[in-house]
Amino acid sequence: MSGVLRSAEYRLAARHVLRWTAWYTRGLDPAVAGARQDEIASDLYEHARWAEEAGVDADELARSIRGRALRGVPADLAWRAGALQRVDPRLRSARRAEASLRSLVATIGIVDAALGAFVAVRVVRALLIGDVAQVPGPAIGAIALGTIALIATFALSGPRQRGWAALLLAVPTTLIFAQTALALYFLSATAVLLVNRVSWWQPAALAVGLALAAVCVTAAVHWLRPTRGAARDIRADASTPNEGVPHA
Amino acid sequence: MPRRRPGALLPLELDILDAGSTLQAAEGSFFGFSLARAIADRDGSTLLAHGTLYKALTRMATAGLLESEWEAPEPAEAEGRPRRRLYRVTAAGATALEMARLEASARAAAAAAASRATRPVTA
Repeated sequence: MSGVLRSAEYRLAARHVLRWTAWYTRGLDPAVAGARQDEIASDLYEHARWAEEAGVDADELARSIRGRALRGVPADLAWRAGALQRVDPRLRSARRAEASLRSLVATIGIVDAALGAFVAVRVVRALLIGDVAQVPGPAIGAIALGTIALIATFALSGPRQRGWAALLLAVPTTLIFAQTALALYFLSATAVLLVNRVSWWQPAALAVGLALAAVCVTAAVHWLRPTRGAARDIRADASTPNEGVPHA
Repeated sequence: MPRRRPGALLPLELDILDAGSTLQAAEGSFFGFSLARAIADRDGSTLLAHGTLYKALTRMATAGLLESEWEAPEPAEAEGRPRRRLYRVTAAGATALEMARLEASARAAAAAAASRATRPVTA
């Protein structure tokens, strides 16, 4: 074996392509995903071996591999969509429910973070125009809660820590609505009017926070519990006969 | 996008059947990269994209135009390379290719006849 197959350029390009392949085959039936990954791995090797025999240098080979991968992205995604459509309807609806839950929790996180950011902007403005001499305590609380929510929202993207992130998000979600109203009492004339006129704002804000926090906790319980046997069975049933794992 | 007429082959599928038949006649079967290489050599084009090639191969195998199997582990182990997925053009694939060639030559003949009929007669 000579230079091209062992070159850093080829290995890096191949690693990128295999990573992309692993990404667009995620969540598919393991037999289908494994077959596609093995076929791409074989293609990459054969491409490098041919390049070696043809005297193509490592840079050109890496460029060619990346070009082939990039030009194939739309077809890869279309293939994935087709493979997802062929899976068992139970698995498909479970995936849809999972995606909806993730979107809902992420939206809650974004709203929490936006409230924290809004309070921060109002604090800066109030300090600049001299409305307040120092940062009000409730505003510090709202900004801190918004920051925690932002961190938790980012953490939702990782499947391993998703459950813990949702659980963490439940904390700022419970408190941030009431805390934001309190903070704005020091920063906004409209908020002063609202707080004085609507006597039930505090329990209402707490109720909204608790309801949304309950959604976060439910999602956390769902993501933290171990995968059920039934889900594994569905995946096993959903294999496509035309695909096969070479190294079963 | 207009839907494809049932049974009609895309240009890429024709290329795959054509190049695949040639490779199959020489080597008994073909694999993804050998096919991409053969098409690129024949057309003087760049190598087919991974996604385009393997999506088309999967589709054609599902349609019964190709059949595939993973090669035995021994030759791959002996050569120190990953196993290849070997494809063969089925009888249905060969028939589809033949039909497409006949249609193409009929179209070419009709176009030539039409061109002769519209050409002005010179004295």
